[in-house]
Amino acid sequence: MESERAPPDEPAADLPALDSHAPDDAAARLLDRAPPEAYLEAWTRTLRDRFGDDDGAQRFSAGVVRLGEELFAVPTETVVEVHPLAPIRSVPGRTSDVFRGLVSLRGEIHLCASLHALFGLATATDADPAAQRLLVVRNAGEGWALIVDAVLDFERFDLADLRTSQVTVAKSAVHFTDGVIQTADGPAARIDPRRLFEGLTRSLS
Amino acid sequence: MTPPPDDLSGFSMLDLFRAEVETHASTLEQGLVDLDAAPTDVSLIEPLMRAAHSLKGAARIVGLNGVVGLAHAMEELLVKAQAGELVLPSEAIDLLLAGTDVLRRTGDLKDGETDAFFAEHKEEIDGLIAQFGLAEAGELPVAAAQPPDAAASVEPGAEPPAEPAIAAAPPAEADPVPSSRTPASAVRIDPEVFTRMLSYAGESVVEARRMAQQTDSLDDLRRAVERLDVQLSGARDRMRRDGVELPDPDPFEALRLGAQETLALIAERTALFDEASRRSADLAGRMYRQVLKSRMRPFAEGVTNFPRMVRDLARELGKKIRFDIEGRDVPVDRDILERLDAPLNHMLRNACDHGLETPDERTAQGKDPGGWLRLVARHRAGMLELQVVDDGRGVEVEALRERIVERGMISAEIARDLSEPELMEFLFLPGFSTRQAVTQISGRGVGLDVVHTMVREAGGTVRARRNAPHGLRFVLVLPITRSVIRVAILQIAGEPFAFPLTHIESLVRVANDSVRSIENRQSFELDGREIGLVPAADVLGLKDSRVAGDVLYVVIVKSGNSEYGLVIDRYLGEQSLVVRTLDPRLGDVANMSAVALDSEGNPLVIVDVQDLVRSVDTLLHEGRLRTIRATSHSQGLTRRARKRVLVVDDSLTVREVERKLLASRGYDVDVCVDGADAWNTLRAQDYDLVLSDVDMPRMDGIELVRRIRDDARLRSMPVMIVSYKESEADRLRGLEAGANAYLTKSSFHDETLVREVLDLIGEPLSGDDA
Repeated sequence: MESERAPPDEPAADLPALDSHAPDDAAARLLDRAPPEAYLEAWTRTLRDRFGDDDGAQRFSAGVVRLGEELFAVPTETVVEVHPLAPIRSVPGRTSDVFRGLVSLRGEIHLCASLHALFGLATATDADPAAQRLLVVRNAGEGWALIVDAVLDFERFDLADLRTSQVTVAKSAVHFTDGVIQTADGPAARIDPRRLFEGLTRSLS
Repeated sequence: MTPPPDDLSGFSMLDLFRAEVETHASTLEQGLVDLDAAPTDVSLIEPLMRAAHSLKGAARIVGLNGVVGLAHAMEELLVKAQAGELVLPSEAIDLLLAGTDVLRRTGDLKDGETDAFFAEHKEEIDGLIAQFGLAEAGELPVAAAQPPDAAASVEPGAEPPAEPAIAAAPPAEADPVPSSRTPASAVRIDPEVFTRMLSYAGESVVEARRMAQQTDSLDDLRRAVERLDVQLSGARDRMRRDGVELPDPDPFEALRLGAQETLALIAERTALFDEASRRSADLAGRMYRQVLKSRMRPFAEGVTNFPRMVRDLARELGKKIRFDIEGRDVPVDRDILERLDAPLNHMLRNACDHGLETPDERTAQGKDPGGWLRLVARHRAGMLELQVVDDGRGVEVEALRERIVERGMISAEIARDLSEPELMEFLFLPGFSTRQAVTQISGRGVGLDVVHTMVREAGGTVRARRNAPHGLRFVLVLPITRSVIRVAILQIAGEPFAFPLTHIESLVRVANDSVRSIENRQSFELDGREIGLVPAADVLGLKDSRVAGDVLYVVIVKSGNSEYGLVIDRYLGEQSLVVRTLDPRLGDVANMSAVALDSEGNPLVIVDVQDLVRSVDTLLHEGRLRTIRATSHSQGLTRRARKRVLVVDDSLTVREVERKLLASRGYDVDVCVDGADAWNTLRAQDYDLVLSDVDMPRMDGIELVRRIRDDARLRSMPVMIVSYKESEADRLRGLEAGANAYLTKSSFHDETLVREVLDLIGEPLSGDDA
C-alpha cells in the first residue's frame, strides 16, 4: 500500500524522488548531515598519505590519443568529454581539411576539426573507424570536437619526465607540442593547449 | 546615507530596490496615463498611492534618503486627490510622471553611484518636491501653451513658482526610461543555459524517436523465432516422411511449444516497449514545446512605453488622443518583441504627428475633437498580426496618385490604372513622403521605408489601408516566433541543406532534354519564363557529386530581379526546424543564415537564399560558373535505361550480397524484405527481373511467383528463385509455380547467378543487347 505510507503532503504523482529533503527521510538525513569536525582533514591526510604525491614531484594529467602511428598527450584540464564519431556536416565556404564542419553531440552543436590535418600528419590508411573518437576540448570558453584515431587512456605523469621534443614527433606537429612523455603505450608528444587552440582558430579563416 | 561602496549587503539591497522600482514605476506610469484620460475616476488613484508608498518605504530601507522625500511628496499629492480634495490637472500628472522618472533612474543606479547621483540631482529633486507642494495647494502654474517640458524635467536651480523653471530638457533626460522591463514574475535565464536546455530537449525528442524505431528490431527477433518454428515443423515432417521413428513424447512438440511461448513473450514485451516509448516521445515532445514557449512573452511587455509616449506627444502637439492597446496577453517571441519596438515607435509617432488632427481641425471637419489611436495585436493564421489604426486625416488616394506621378516614379497612364492597395505600396518606398513638414517628433516625412525595412528584417510584411470612415490602418504581419521555421531539405553535393520555404519560389523536375543551351549558359522554360540553371554545389563551393539521371532537380530562387534555377541532387523533404545562431567564431559565413538540428539530431545548415542569389549574380558576372556537367553525361545514359532487378529476401545478408553482385555488374537493383513487400513494389513500378527467396514471412516466394504469373501486366516478367532448399522436389515446386530459374544460394560463390541473370534479361544497358 504505497499511498498509505506516503506522507500526506507528498504529491501523489508517480515520480522518483529527485529531491530527498522530505523531513522524515531518515536515510537522507543521515547522508546529508554535516561531517564531524576535522573529519575532512583526517581523510584528506589519509588519502594523501596513501595515494598522494608525497615525493614533492610536480605532476600533470593527460589523455593519450593516437593519430595514425603517433601518440599525443592532451592535458586533462582541456578535455571535456570523449564521444563516438557522429555525422559531420560541412559549412559551405569554410570547411577545409582541418575544419571539417559542424557536429551535434547530445544536441549541442560543436565545431569539428581533424587533428590529423592540423598537425599535417600523413593520412593513416589503416585507421579503424570503430576506434575513432571525437575528443571534446575546451579552452577559455572555446570548445572544439577533434577527430582522433583512438583515445587510449588518461594517465598521470611526472613533470620531470617531460623531455624536449625530438625526432619522435613529426616535424609539422612539433609546433603544437611542448615535449615528449613516456606513456604506457609508448612515447607521446604533449600538446600545448594554447598553440592548439590558436591553430584551430586559424583554420576557420 | 548611502551604503559605502564596499558594503556587499548594501549591494544586494540595491538589487532588491531595483526590482521594486521596476514594478512600481510601471504601475505609476501606466496608472497616471490612464488617470490623465479620466481625471475624476478616483478608483484609479488607489494603486498609485500604494506604489508611491511602497517606493518610499523601499528607498528608506536601502538608505536612498534622497528620493524618500520625493516619493513622500508624490504620495501626499495622490492621497489628497484620492480623498477628493483636488482633481489632478494634466500639469500635475506631468509632475508625477517626472517624479516617476527620477525614481526609475535611482533604480538603475549601480552600487557606489548613488552619492554622485544625489549630489548632481539634489536641486532637481528638491525643485520637484517644491512643485508637489504647490500642486497640493492647487497653485501649480497652468501653462497650457507649453506644458510638456514641465513633465520632462525641472532644471536644477529653478525656483518653483517662477516661469523659467519650465525649461527645455536635454533629450537624454527627457527619455530616461529603459526600453525593456521585465515584470518581477518572469524568470531571467542565462542565454547559454537556455540554448543548452533547448539542445537537450531537442535531443530527447530525437532520442525518443530512435527508441520507437527499436520496435523494428524486436520485429526482427519475432521473425527469427517464427522461422525457427517453421524449420522445426519442416524437420519433423521430413523425418516422418523418411520413416524416422520419433520418440514419445515428441521432442519437436516441446521445442515448438517453446518457440510459441517465446513468440508470445516477444509480443507482450513489444507492446510494453511500445507503450513506454510512446509515453517518452509524448513527454519529450511536450518538454520541447515548453522550452520553445519559454521564449514567448506577452505583447504588453514590449509596449509598456507607448502609452506614456503617446500622452506626452499629444500634450506637446496640443492634440487630444485616446490611445488603446488591445491584445496585451498575446504571446510574442522575445526576439520579435524587441525588433518591434522601433517600427511601432515610428508608426505611433507618425500617427500622433501627421495622422491625427488638432481638436480645432477635427471640429471643423465635424469629427469628435478627441482622436483615437489603437494598437492591436493578435494571432492570425499562424502569424502575429499587428495593427496601428487612427481616425486621423488618413491618406488621400488621389493626392497620392498625383504625387507619385509628380515625383516621376511612374507615368500618368500607369498611375491611373493603379488600385488603391497598389498606390499605398508607394508609401513604403525610400524617400517617399506625403507631407513636407519636418518636425522634431518624426523627422522628415513619414519615413515608412524605414519601418518597411525593419519589418522585413524581422521576417514580416507591412501594408497600409484606409480606415473607414477616417484615418489610416497599418497592418504588420510577422512570424510569431523566429525560432522555428519551415524549410525544404535539399541534398546538394551529397549533403543535406535547409532552404526556408518562404524564400523558395518552387521546386521543379526538369527533363534533361528540355534544357537549352544559350551562349554556353543552360536554361529551361518555366511558365513562359526562361530560367538560368546553376549548379547549387558550385555556388556553395562544394564538390559536385550528383549522379547522372534523366531529370534534374531544380529549386527556383528569386531575389530582386534575379531568378535562378539551382540544380540540386534531390529533394529530401520538408520540416520545421528550430533555428540556432551560428557559432560566432565562424563570423559571417557567405550563403548561410543559421544552423539547426534535423530529425536525426544532426546539424543542418540553413541557407540564406537572398545571399545565395547574390552569390550567383557575382559568379555569373565574373564568368566563373560551369555548365551543368551532369547533363551531357547523363543524356548519354538516359537513352539507354539500366535494367532493373528486384531482389526479395528476408535475410539482410543475402539481400546485400545479391544487390552488390548485380549492382557491380551495372544493374539497377532495388530490394524488398518479403513477398508482400515485393508484391506492393511490383504493382507500383516496372522491373525487368525478380530475384526471390522461398521462405519468407507474410508471403513466401512460391506465392509471389504465382501472383506474378496470374497478373496480366507482370505475367511475362522473368522470375528467378534463389533458395537454400536444394532438393529436387523444392526445385520442381518453384518451377511449377512459374519461376524461370531455380538457383541455390551457393550460386553466389561463382558466376552462376550473374550468368543466369544475363541469360534471362541480358546486359544491364538496353542498348548493348539490341
